[in-house]
Amino acid sequence: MKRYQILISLYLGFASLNAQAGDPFSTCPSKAFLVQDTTARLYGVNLVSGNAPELTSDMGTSSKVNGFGFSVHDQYLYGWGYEAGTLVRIGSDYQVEPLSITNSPGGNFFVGDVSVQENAYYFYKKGASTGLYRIPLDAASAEYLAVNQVIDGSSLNLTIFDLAFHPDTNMAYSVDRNGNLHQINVATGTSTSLGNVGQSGTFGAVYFDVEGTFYISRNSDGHIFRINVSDPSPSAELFAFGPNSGNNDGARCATAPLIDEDDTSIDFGDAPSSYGLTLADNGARHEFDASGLYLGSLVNGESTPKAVDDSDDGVQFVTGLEAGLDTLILVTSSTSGYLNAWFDWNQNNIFDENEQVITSKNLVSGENHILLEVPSSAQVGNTWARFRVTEDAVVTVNGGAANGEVEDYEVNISDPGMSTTSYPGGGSWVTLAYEDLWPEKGDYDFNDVVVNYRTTINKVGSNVIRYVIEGHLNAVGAGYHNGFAVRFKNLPSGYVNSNLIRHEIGGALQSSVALEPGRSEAILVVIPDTKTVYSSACAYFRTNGCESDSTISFKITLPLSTSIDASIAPSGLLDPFIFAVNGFAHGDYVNVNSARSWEVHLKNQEPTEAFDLSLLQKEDDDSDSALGRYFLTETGLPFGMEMGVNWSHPKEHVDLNSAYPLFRDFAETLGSANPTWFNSPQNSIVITNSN
Amino acid sequence: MKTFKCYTLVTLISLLMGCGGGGESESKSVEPVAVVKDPPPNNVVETTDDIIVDADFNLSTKFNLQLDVKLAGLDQRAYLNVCLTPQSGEKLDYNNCLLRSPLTASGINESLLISHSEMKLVAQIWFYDGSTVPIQYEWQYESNLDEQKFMIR
Repeated sequence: MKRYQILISLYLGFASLNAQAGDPFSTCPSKAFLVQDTTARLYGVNLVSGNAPELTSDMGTSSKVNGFGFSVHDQYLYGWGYEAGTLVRIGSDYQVEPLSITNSPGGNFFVGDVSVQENAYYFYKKGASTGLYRIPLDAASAEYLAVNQVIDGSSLNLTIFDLAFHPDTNMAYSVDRNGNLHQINVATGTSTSLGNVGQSGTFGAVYFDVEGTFYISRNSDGHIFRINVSDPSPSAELFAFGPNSGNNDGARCATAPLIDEDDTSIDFGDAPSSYGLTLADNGARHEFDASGLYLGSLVNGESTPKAVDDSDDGVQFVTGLEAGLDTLILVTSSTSGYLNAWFDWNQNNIFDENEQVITSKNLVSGENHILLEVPSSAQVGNTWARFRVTEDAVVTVNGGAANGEVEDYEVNISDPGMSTTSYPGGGSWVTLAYEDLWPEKGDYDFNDVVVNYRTTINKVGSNVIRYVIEGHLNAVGAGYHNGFAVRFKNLPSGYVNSNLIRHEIGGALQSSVALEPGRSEAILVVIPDTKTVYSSACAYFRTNGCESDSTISFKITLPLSTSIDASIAPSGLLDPFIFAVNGFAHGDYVNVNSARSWEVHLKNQEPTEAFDLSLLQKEDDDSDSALGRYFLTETGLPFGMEMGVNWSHPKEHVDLNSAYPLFRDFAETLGSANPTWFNSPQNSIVITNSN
Repeated sequence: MKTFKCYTLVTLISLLMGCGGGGESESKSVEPVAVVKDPPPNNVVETTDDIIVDADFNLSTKFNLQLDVKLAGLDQRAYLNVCLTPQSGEKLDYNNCLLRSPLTASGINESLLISHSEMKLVAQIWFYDGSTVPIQYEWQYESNLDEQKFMIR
């Protein structure tokens, strides 16, 4: 094919070859182009990851192409072709097409680019007999393809190997072998040194993105650095690991973003931004191969990092992370590779250099058991860990990688000897559903307030040191303003380290104090008002339409300043309840200004010290404190229920027994019949919860 | 409203028993199981409000599981995970455990709360000696037992 093309060129000459030029590129691509080798090969470079698959090994030339640039004006690549000793144009067929230039200075050039602001190609070689040249590329111009010297190469004397034009100015930039960043005014042929960027070598391929960020690729190791050229002290930040080569030149459409919005080829981490997350952070990211190297059973990608990466499944913390002791982790790899990992032991929200705990560890395909030492200085509490698997041994905590996967994990560092008990399980939920017309019967759709819920208790020895309450508000089918709270029966509020309570709603840290003041027992207000934490186009929340509205997560961590023996400490479900919110009407029996004294607990759970006992036995309530009976009707029906799973609640005004026909027998047989009635809904009349 | 409640109950009892008697309205002696087993022909339960529940039954399905773990001669560090049994073909999820605890020679005797009777558990004991396979035990609900136990020896 190549020989055939050469024969054609000999016969037709360059001018007629121009007429047969390949089509231009159809878009301004986000990927960069890299031409390498003495017989030119073309690669597409993803600067995000450094991955550079070969586009073609046959560009229709027997020699090098250098001084590579992408024209945003006609969407062709241009460069200097060594075989023909002239400017060449390359279209979407990747074939070199020599152009017939006039006033050629002779010889070959390896530094060049197409301006963004003007339709012209600039090329450069230092030395008195050469210099900086300009070639107009506008075919309508009288000077089309006529070479004009801007300045001689002794006046503009730079040891550079490529240059690239800024997308917004007509300034070109390059970094010389000593690491000095140069800004070149191509109109005057003068340059300004902007400072040393801290990296040296032959930077044979340089690029800009649409944001004006400058990228330089070092021939010797393929490392791609990024530079903010407007920084008064510009520095080169390692950005990705790209391909190395003795001969390297790059081109890129400088008006393209670095990553397209629909690009799902990159796997990002999901730790908080301070650890390095997004492209702007230069966060950890990998161009993955779903049939190649990754952790766990799957890998997927996104153009911007997800809040929670659902493909992080490759690292299992088999044992607890106890300060000062070894811990065992199980890492599953799809194939052989290298593992590097970091833990933020000191919880300063970054991975410090001395916090790399696994370095270039060989992984085999399948399970890998790894014993780690948790430093005795590790701070107790929640923190983050990052695991990166790559084909190359070396990877930094941030930046792009051309293969593999990154997985971030929130982990808990505990005191030595700590145990964790979860109800109903560390990754499972029960559901709490309430009717809020008490003391009057409601409509029994049990969706006035619906939360899924779990509790976690940490103990050291027999002493409880911490509780965690978490879940989601799944539905609000109420007109009244109800809060959701948890009472810790027999736990004095003074035992709680209130300064260290961490309270999140919808992922946002709450500034209000969750521990209800003035109570002798600890009472945590988990959601102060369920009516105000959601926004929905519907009258209610996920009961009568708008079912796709996101549920509202909540989490409270409750450390104790005085531990309590597990034999007397509250445990298990604890005592979750709803209460009326002060300042809002809540039926005939509730004073607006002291509405908090109204509560509804699960059946036969006694109310808290905040409750107005005079409300008992009003209307349909048949409580009898002497018999330990609370919040039930005369026929034993409850106002609050616990379901043993993440339950799909009835739609608005759908009766519980219609939605769950097995409920009746369960209820009337003391639970002996249909003990998992909650797993058998009439699907068309319930809201499915899958969080 | 109390008056209304009385009327309602009188009506209900009339339906169930075929006789009246307002004086019974405050009684707690309704026997729901008996009603279920031998309902009058006209006892039609259409809504939740028609259901009668024993006053002392709180409608929860949770129960206690007594976990008793003690390994004879245990003289090295060990760690216990009691987790939900994974679906067929899936791996154990250490993020979905009921108990994670260091295990010492004195063992573990603890009451775990189980949310419903279809839950199945796996207990794994790992050692820090380089071994790559844990000791593993399984538990599931046994309906013939008054008290559920998970004993590991």
